[in-house]
Amino acid sequence: MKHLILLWVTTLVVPPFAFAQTMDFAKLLAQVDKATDFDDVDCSAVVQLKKTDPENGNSDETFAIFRRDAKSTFTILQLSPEAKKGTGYLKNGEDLYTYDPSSRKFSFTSMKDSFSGSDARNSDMEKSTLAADYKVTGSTSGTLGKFDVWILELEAVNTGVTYAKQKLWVNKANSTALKAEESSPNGRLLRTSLFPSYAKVGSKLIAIRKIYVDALVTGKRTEMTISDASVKTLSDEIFTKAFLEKATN
Amino acid sequence: MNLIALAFRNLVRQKRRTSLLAFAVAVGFAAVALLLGLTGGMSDNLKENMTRAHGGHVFIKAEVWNANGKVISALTPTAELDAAIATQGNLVKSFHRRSSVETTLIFGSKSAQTRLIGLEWERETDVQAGLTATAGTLPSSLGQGQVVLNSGTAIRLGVQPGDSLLLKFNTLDGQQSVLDVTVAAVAQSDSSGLFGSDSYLALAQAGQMLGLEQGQFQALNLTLNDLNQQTKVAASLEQTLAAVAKVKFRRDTKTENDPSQMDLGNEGPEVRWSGPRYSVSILDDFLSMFTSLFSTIQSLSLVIFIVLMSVIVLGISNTFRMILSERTVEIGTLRAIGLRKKGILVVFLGEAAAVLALGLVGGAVLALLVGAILSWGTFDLGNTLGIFLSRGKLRFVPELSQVLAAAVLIFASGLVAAWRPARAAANLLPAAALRSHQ
Repeated sequence: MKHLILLWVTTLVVPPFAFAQTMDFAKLLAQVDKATDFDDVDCSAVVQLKKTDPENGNSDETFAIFRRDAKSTFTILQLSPEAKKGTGYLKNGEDLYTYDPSSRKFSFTSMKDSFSGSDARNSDMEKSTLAADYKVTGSTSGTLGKFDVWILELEAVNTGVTYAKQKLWVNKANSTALKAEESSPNGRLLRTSLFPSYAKVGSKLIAIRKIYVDALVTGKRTEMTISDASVKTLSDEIFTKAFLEKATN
Repeated sequence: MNLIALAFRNLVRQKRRTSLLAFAVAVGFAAVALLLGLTGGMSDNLKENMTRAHGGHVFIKAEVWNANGKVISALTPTAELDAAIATQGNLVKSFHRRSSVETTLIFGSKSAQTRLIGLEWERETDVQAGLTATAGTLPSSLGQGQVVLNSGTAIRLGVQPGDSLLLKFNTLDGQQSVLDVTVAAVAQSDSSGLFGSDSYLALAQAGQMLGLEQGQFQALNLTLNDLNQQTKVAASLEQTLAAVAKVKFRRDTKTENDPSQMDLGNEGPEVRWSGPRYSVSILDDFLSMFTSLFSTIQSLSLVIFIVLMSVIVLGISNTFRMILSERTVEIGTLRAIGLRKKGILVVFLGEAAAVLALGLVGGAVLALLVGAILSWGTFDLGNTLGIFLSRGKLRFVPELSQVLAAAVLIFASGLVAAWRPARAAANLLPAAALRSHQ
C-alpha cells in the first residue's frame, strides 16, 4: 500500500517538478519579450488611460503612441483632455524627454517615472526587456483563471530597473505575460499589473488592456486600453523633437 | 538781534502750524525709515531662513558614474576634500553632511509628496532652532526609521507623533522601494512655504534609502563666519579641488541650467570621467530668485520716498509762502529798524531747519516705535511669504547709512523748498513792505 501511495505522489508531483528543472526560464523570459516586441516593424496605436485615484479624483486621458522598437525609440502625443493636449514624450536612445506645449520646452525625465501621473511607468510604454533585466530565481506551474501559466520569481540583475523583484504569470500557450506583482528590494508589493487581453497586430501580440493597481494606496489604479493598433511604416520625422513641436501648432 | 531766538519765537507763535508741518515731516520720514528697516529685516530673515533651509552657505557636491552607467550624486569623504576645506582656514565656521530623498508618504488611503532631508540631527542645532514643534517634542536624536515631519504634510495626512507611515521612494538608480517609518515629531519652519515641505531623518537612513555606500552622503554644506565671503570661498574650493580632481565650475553649471541652452538632438554623448566630479554652489545662487522681488521692493521704496519728499517740499514751500504773506509788514519793520537781508534769510531758514529737525527726530522716534510694535507682533503671512519672517515675526533692521542719507536728503530738500520764500522775504523793500499793510 505504501508503495502505491508513493507511486501516486510521485506521479502527481515529480513530472511538473522534473519539467521545471529542465525548462529554460531565461529562454522563456526572452520569449515573453519577443512575443510583444516590434523589432522588425513600426507600431502605432491609440492609448486610453483611465486613472482611478480616491484622493485626487478620477480622470481619462488619450494618447497616440508611435513605437520603433528596432531603434528603442518611441513618441507619444497626448490627444485629450484639452488642457494637456499636445504634451509629448520622446524616447531618444537612453534618454526620455517630455514636451510641454504651453512653454514649448523639452525637459529630461526618467523611464522609471510615472507616465502622466498614472500608475503606469514611462518604461511600460516601450518594449519589454525582462530577459535583459531579470534572472529567474524560482518557478512553479499553475493556473490563472482559465489559463495554464508559469509563475516565475524574478530578481533584477542590476539596480537600473524600477522594480527589484517581480512575480510573473506567463501564459504557457503563447508566452505572454498575464500578470505581474512588482516588489521592492525587501519584497514589499508595490504594484500589481494585469494584462487580460491581447490582440494580434501583424505577426505580433499586443496587450490591448492593461491594469496597474497601486498596492500601497488603496483604490488607486490605472486602466490602459489600446486601440487602432497598426504596423504601418512610420515616417522618421515622427521620432523627432520637431514632430512634437509641430503637432501643437 | 538774536536771530535764532526770533526764529524760535516765530515757531512758537504759530504752534498749530509748526506742529502740523513737523508732523508731516515726521510721518514722511518715519514711513521711509520703516520701509528701509522692514526691508532690511526681511532680507536678513530671508538669508537666515535660506541658510537654515539649505544647511549652510557653500555647498560641495560630487557626481560619479555608477555600475549601471548612470551619473549619481554621491560624495565620499576623502583627504583631498578635507584638505580643500582646511585651506579655507577661519572663513569656515562649521560644516554638515546631508543627503535628500524625494518621497511619497502614505498613510492609509492618503498620500503626500515630501522631500526628506537626511542630516546629522544631533549636530545640526541650527536646524532644530529654526523648527517649532506643532505636535510632540523635537527629539534629541533621530534613530533609524524615525522622521520629523513638516506640519503641512502631517495635516494633509492626518498623522500624529507615534503614527507609522509608509515611505515610497526611488533609489539613486531610480529603483522603487518602500520603508516603514514612525513620526517622531511634527514641526514647522519659517522656510516652510518654499522649502517646507522638507521633513527630516537620520543621514545614515537617507544614505541607505538612496543606495549610497556606507559613509557616503550627497552634499557637504559649509557655514561661513561671514556670509559675504561665499563667492571667494567657492572659487578657492574650486581651484583647490581642480588641482587634484575633476571639477564642474559654477560658471559652467549656470550656463548648463539655462533652459534656453538646451537643444535636443544637438547634444553629444556625455564624456565619462573617473572618480568624483566636484561642484560647488553658494547660497546666493538660490537667492537669485528673490533678487527681482527685492529690486521691486527697492523701486517701490524709491517711488514712495520721492512722493513723500515731494509732499514735504510742497508743504514747506507753501507754508513759508503763507508766512511771507502774513509777515510782510513785520519783515518791513525789521528791515526798517536795521535787520539786514541776510538776517531775514537766516530767520526763515532757521525756522525751516527747526521744523525739519523736529520732524526728523519725531519721525525717527515714530519709526522706532512702530518698528518695535511690528517686531513684537506675530504674523501669519501664509506659506510663501513666511520665509521673510523669523518665527512669525518681522524684524526692524534699518541700515543707519541709508536712514541718515534719507534724513539728509529730506532736510536739504526742505531747506531748498524754504529758500525761495526766504529769499523773497529778504528781498522785500522795507517801505514797500510797510505799505502793504494799507
